[in-house]
Amino acid sequence: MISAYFIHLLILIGIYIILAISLQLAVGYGGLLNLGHISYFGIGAYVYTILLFHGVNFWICFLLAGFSAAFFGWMSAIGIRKLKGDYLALVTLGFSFVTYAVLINWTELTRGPLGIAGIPRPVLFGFGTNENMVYLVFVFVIAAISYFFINKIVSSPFGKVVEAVRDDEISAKSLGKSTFKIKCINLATSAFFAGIAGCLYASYITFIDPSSFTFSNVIPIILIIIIGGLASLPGTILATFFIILLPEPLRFIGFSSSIVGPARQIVYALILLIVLYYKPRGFYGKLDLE
Amino acid sequence: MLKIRNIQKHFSGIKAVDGCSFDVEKGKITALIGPNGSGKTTMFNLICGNIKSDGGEIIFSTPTGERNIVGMPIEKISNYGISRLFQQSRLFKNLTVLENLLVSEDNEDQKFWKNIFGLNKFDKSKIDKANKILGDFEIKDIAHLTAGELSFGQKRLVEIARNILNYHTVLVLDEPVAGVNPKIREKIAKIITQLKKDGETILLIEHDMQFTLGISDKVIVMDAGKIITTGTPEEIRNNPEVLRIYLGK
Repeated sequence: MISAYFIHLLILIGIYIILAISLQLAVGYGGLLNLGHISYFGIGAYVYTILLFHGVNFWICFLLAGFSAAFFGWMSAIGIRKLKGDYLALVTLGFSFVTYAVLINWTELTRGPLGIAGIPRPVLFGFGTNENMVYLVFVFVIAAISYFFINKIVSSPFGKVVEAVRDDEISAKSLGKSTFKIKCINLATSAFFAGIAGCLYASYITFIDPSSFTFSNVIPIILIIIIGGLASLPGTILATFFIILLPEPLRFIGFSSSIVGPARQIVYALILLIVLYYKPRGFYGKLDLE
Repeated sequence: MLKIRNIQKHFSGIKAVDGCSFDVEKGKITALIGPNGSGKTTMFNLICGNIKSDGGEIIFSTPTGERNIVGMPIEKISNYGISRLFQQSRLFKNLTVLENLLVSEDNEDQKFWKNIFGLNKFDKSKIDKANKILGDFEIKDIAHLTAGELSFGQKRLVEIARNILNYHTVLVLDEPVAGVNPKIREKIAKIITQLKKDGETILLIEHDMQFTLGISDKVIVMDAGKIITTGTPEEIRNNPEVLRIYLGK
């Protein structure tokens, strides 16, 4: 029983790792405070689910979940072309509300607040993933590939240009860099992996509804990248374990479920305050929060 | 090389640059001087595309022929060959000195898939090129420091190195020795002198008259957005109008 519970937590950690390192690419490396990241997660989950129910092959659904999220990431970059800082954060926050409104109101496609239930787990190379242990392996393989790919981006010369644009956009332009193109690619790539995480989430939980993709759901992910440290992938992974596991003992104290939820938010707030006070750069951050 | 023709820029009715025309000749150092608020930096902003002009032309000799670069994006102007040093430090503060230089070397780093598949790397030749200029500037020991950790003078040297490494046919230097100590000032003077010997084309703004007149081939004096006179350093030194508006004599 305990092991089933820990496997469940590890699966969530795997999904959150993908979600957090993809947000780290946009926020920590690119300096784009994207509060709409959860929307790409939701878009990935819905695109995957809807296509799967139309009989499309799992791998095609999986990739299209990522690419559709990437498309919206690219479109977001067009929308925020001339914005930065707080204004960019507000517009991307608006995007998450718009996405939620579409998911809840386009009932013919999404079933609105009723959500979509009975999402089947994939069969991979002849192996069913109904066993959580098998699904855990699958999630961690995808998380490892995502990490490898994002690490490859940030370690490459392209990654250095992304950081250059974050530090000083005008200066990057003066060196001949097309900063708009860089931001578009950054947000699209970040959204792609969030879409993939959404796909994994939908097929794991087997049920999705718009409430899973609201602004409040992005808070733990932002917390992870702040505590892990901006522009640090290893820090992000460590912080994902930390943030997912730390509130779990609350379940065993004997609080009612109506208290556990808010108590978790209180724990998150306390962690954030303590970390910002004693370690403002998080675990392995390379930048200050500005 | 660079021809400015009747360029104008107004800010809410204030004429920051008012119908200025001049030429920057190939292989020469052209200096733009004038009191604070005379429009020098606005002129640089117009040339480099940081602001759009209200009228006039800026004709630049690009590898594909002469082009009016007015209204072009900053990055396009840079890629045509204008490399700018800003008045304030604009290094990428969280990148190391070496990374700051490597980013400036070429634009292959913008090609996503090429970089992901390892077809573009910071290879030995690029690193050697960056290290060589750091060696020439005697700042190789700070290569691993992030730009945010540097002193103002070190930042200035790194920025000049970065501008030289960036593809260019004209170097546009906005107050390269402002605020630096005499030792760094002397070093920057030597660097600019060497650039002149190497045949570089330079457009320079500098408040330090001794420095400017000692290094330039041609001096343009601005006041209240207008060009009041142009000449050799010797002519400018003896021009009573310049002494009046610039030196207050």
